[in-house]
Amino acid sequence: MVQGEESSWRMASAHDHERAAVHLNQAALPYHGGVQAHASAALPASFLDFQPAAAAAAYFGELEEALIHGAANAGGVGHHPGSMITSDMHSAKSAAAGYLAARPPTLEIFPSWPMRHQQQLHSGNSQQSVGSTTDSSSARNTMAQMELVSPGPASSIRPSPPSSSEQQPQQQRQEVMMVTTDDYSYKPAFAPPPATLAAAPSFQQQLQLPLHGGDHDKRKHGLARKDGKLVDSKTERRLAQNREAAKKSRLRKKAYVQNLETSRVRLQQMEQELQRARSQGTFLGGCSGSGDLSSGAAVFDMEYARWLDDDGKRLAELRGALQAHLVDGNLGLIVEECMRHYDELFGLKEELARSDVFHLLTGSWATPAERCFFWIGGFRPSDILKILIQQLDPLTEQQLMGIYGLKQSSEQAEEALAQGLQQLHQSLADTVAAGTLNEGAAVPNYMGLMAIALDKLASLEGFYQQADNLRKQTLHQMRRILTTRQAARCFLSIGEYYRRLRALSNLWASRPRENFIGTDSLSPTGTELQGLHHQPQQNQFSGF
Amino acid sequence: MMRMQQQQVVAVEGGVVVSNGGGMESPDDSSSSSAIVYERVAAMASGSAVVVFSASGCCMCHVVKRLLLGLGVGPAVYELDQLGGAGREIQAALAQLLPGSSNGGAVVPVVFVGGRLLGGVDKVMACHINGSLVPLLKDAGALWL
Repeated sequence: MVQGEESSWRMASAHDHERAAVHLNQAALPYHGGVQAHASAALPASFLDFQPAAAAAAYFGELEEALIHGAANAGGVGHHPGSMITSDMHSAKSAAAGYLAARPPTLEIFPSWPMRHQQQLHSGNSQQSVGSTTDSSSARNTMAQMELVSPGPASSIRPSPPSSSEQQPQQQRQEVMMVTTDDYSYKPAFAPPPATLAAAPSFQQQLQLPLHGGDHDKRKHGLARKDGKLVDSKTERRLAQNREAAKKSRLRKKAYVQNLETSRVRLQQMEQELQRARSQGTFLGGCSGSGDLSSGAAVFDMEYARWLDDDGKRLAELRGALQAHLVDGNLGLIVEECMRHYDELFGLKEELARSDVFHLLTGSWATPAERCFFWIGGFRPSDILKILIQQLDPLTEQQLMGIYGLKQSSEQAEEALAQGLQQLHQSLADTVAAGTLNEGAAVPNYMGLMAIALDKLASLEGFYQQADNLRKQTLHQMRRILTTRQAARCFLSIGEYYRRLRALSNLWASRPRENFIGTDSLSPTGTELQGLHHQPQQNQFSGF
Repeated sequence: MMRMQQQQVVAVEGGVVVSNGGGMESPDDSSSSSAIVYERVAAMASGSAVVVFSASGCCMCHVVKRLLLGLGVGPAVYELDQLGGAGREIQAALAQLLPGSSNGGAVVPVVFVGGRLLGGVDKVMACHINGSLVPLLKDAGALWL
């Protein structure tokens, strides 16, 4: 089976649509005798377009199958078409062969179909699923949805109206899976190309696609499912296996994503270490923060990254809910979720503040653009209120008064906190500079001096807590003043504002800096920025 | 208790500041019993519309004082570090009244409005943000208009 598919794979990479189709047909034939083979000479381009996506979904199943059975041949073959496949990835629209070759070597690792199903795929009879997932809707290689993919076959099992919207999410999911695992090169993946056709079966293809060679089963199964009556036991078993494998894949994907996240955190830590080491030069013993991030800080960074992901989802949810004009009750639930989400972040920060307040105050957990606006380790409440007042235009008289009152109160509270902080700074400076500095550490009572300074530094924690408390109270009061719908728009505005700041930071970090070889991608210092202005800018960011 | 009434009261810019700690010391043991201290605290708290127990070096106390002064309130401020032993007793009593204060272990600042305990700096901030502080102050007569 692998061999046969390999040959057809090679055929595919020869970019011969017709021959590929025929070959697939022939490869498939021996495996499901009675099914008529519809060698389709002219597959609609859209079908082909979709194939890579659909194929990707099933791909991993095949891949795993190949691996598990130690298909060395598959591995060998995989290298060959690998490059071709990669290059063909984006020219999928050209031909069925193109379609076959179009699956990138770095396809998604987490299949939507069961391993056992792959065995059947090997026999080629499950090509139906892949074909069936495709429909006339063009393949959209977009990462529209990052949610975990429900099993392709399982989803296709559900009787569904042939609608492109249903196809699209599946497709997108599969695409997503394909894209997310891009870094993961899976060489033996190409072994059973037709088997990848066994992606999530669905009905649409049945309606809209002429049957491909390998599509006999696909059609047969499509028929079965469409009618809802002719589901044979074989299909049922297959579907059940699909579900199982899909579940397994989800778990694997979850584990993988978590692994990625921890690696990302580690990478972040290393980058920070590197940056600190560079910026501090020979200052080894001076700052305790020059070493690793404290464990609490590292944990916080990881939690914050997760919080950011959740934040993205919440924003999408809010946007959807607002557009859908949900009843206030349901919208209220979503708004409450958002509020709780923010409270969660405040909780995380409070916890870290007890052990490592400086990580929060210096803002290394935030992006550079966000850091520009930092006020005692976070946003300044009155700034956010100023932004929101503009966004929440239709306000009642009472609400306007409430919001302006809130703005005034927060300004007064901020002023008081700032004054207290200023006094703390002054007091700390006085303590550290006590006595004569010329004698270095030889002054009497040096340790006593240090102890007092330590106490004063410790009270910074209190200021951070109060500032965070102020932020939290302001958000809660804002929620109280606004109606549910306004509160939803409010949270959406805040979320989007910060998302844009983060995007801005990303753009900033990725702008080319040939003149600064030593700098890494973290925030540029002020001197770097000034230096850049004087450097010739021969780059694509000139219009930026 | 009687000694408290003999304290020097210095009027400072609309605020009443009691800073002379000498008169607060009481030699007999009965004064140090907590009930008496509580009474003392209560009496001090009732002496003015707004009473702030503070410490002269504490920056968070400075925050609370600034906030109240900014609102136009003239609070009676007791700098406990300048009241010696009595100050420590009062601090202990306040710590019992206000468990779990987040100000890095220091119990001050503690604010009383209209003779009743309001709380520490986070409570004052929260009340101010949710708009309940100013009405409270007005009710206690610390603010008018």
